[in-house]
Amino acid sequence: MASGSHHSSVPEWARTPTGQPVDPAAASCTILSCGATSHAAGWSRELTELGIEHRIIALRPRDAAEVQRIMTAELRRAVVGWRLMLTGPLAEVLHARALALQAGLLDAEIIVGTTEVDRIPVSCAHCATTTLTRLPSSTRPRARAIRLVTCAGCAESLVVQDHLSPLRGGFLGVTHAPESRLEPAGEPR
Amino acid sequence: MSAFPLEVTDVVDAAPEVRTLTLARPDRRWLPSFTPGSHLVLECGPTVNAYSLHGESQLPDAYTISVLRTGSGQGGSRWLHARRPGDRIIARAPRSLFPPMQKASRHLLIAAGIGVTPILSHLRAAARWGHPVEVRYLHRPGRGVHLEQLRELAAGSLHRFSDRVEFRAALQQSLQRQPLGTHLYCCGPEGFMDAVREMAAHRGWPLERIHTERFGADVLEAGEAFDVALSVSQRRITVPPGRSLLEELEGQGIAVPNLCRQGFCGECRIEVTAGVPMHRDHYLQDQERAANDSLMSCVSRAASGALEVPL
Ligand code: FES
Repeated sequence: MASGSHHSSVPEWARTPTGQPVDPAAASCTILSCGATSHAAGWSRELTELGIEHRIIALRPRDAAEVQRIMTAELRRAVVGWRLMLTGPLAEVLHARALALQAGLLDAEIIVGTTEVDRIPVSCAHCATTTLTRLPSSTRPRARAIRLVTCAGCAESLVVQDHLSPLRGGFLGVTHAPESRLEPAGEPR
Repeated sequence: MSAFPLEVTDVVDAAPEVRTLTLARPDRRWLPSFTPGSHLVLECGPTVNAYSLHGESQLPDAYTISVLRTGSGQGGSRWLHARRPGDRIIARAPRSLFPPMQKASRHLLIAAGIGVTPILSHLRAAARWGHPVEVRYLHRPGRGVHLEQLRELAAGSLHRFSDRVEFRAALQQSLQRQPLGTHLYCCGPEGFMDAVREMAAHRGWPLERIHTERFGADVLEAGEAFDVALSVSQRRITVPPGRSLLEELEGQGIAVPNLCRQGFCGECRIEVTAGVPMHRDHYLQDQERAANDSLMSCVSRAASGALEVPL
């Protein structure tokens, strides 16, 4: 079946820059912002109006170790009722979300706001390496299925699936079989 | 599914009006293991009832249930209270609809009254696996059930209450300080479970962390009328509010096997070839429910529009 929005594993915020609303039932929140100052401030205002205790932590982009450290610290002090709010470019958001899910946070406890969705992480189905690739938002979602990417780990040529793996924090990439009739949509990078 | 006979081997009064029955195979072979929180469906003379198993769940040589005697003469509880060692009871294999969550790092176990039985089963499992627990038990003064076992298994993490207001205030506090990864399990009267769920949701608990055991007590709503196309007999019937699909089929001369007529024995399951059922049973497991390719005709209805069944 085509990538209908209904049964797709790809949430709306991964297709277009969108923010999920704050959860009025939240007991407390931590906003992790990766260069998304205004989005974080918007959430913060709403939380203040609702009287929900929260704090904002600014993340440095592409500092995976720092993200891991902050995430571990936040999850350790969190109690049930807490919400993790992630905002920034899709690649950074997916990375942080994957860490949180791996640590046992539920999807319902994570609120996401994306500021840019052109740079997407592709997770190799074979060697599990994540490769970043650029796919302009003008490209329709379905076009991702015919996009070829060279895996940074095993150098395989990967077809990007319209399937998001939450725990890997990326779109799934599977080996481009020679018998497949798919044509590359552009230069792999 | 196959029924098998069990023999009553022991009867003990666990609390006023509550009797604990130990049931074993007549030849004393091991019984099937079960998931903590499972229930057993028993044929109790005129009726069929479900009871939570609270004994050892792995390779058990006996099943134990505790039965509160309820007022009306209809119920199976009175019949069970009249059993004596040596009597036989027909049972069906345990069903698991209230399992412990594997990813939980901590279990908050909440019970009221006789609802403590599946909670005791969860507590036993958590103790075996060394999982952190907290038990909150509300019961009328002098009517606590299985207190000794609860104390033994939960030790310092058992909190008992005989006063609703106190229970609520303490639960409020507790709900606000559960480490991430905690799951909440609740069993008791319908109103009690609703109140607990509401309190938790109000404190930001996502529904995925809240699990309730709700068989037996609920009176189902009459529901709305729905149409059913019978593809084999080439007929179309309408099930009016307050009537079950099972009853309508019987009215058409179509005999569907059935036993409990309350949605937990599994006998009246029928295949669904089109349409989306509204499941109201206590038999199907989540995956079977989600598949929407069968329903329990004694209680379930159509979610919208019509259903098609190969009858
Ligand atoms: S008759 Fe028992 S589930 Fe329907």
